[in-house]
Amino acid sequence: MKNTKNILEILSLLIVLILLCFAIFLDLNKKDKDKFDINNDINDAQIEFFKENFDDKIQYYDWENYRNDKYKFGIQIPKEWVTKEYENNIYFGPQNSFSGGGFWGVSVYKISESKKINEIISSTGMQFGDRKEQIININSFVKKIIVTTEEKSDWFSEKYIIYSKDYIYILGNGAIKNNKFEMFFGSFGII
Amino acid sequence: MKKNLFSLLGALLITICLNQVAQAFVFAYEVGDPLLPAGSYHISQYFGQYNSDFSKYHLGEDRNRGTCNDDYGDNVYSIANGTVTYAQNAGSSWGNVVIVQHIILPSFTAVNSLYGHLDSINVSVGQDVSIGQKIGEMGDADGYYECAHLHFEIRNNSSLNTTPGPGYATWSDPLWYYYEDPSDFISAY
Repeated sequence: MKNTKNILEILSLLIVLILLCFAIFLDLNKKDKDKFDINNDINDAQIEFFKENFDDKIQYYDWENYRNDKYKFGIQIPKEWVTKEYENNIYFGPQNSFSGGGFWGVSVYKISESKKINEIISSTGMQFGDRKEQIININSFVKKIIVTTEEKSDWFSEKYIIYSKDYIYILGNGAIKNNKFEMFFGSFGII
Repeated sequence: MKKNLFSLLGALLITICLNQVAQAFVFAYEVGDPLLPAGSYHISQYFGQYNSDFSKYHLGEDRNRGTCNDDYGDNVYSIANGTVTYAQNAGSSWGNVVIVQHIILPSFTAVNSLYGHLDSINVSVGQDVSIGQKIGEMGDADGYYECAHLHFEIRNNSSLNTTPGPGYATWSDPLWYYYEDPSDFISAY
């Protein structure tokens, strides 16, 4: 009788464990589905690349052109801003913002480095336990990633990922909401 | 038997003594979460770099991940084993500051590392910390700076154990003798 009771207890425990494992599996599966899969997206991007020419862009009032021949792109920045280049990253901002890394930036990766993009996206806002990621497919060669957190309400990260024939460009807003960042993105072109 | 016992006690005593002085054999970079892609951090203002806002030269290094506030709230780690000698808000352009004293073995020389502009502090004065232990989170000195960053210094004078110092100095200032280039110092260990 005692043996039967023991067996029943073990069986109940096993069932609970199996149900728990199943729940964890479902949760993980859901998280995987939510995750941005750049490797699938790059296939789409390869169908059509960003081809807008920088020289065809409209010149904004009080902004000036920045051209980068090495990475074959151009962009406009407010006139009083300065530029700092650090390896494959180019930072833009007023002089006094540079001890903090500058306001906005363009990071450039080779098409073959597409796996790095996934890492960069998932590390954006990783310091916050409640990070929320939103992916907007603007078209087949431009994606917008927005990451927010409730831990710091004014922390708002916007990144544009642009696929060209040679490079992947990531335009970042430095996690500070600024409507002019859209103009910055709008002025981006290939040279 | 007796000899072995004495040897064991001696070894134990030495171990306790070494732990008491919070020894540091190895120094590591102060930021750089292992979960982040390699090379995520860069130096946005170098040691000795001229800063036009202060019209002086930088006594430390500013470290950043991405642009502006991308790194706001990132963990900041102690560069080596040590004892916290300062952990409070220093006001003005400093914000929250942590200073950790490290004793370098086998020479028993002392240096201290300073972590400035923190958003929050996770340690208290007198606490022993280990290499890689979280001591705070990156911030912008209570909004003093446009963008969050870590101001990081290595100082070789124990009179600076309990003071953040000026952060910048003119070239003729004798203070320079008390400051090390953080990157060079860490690379040497």
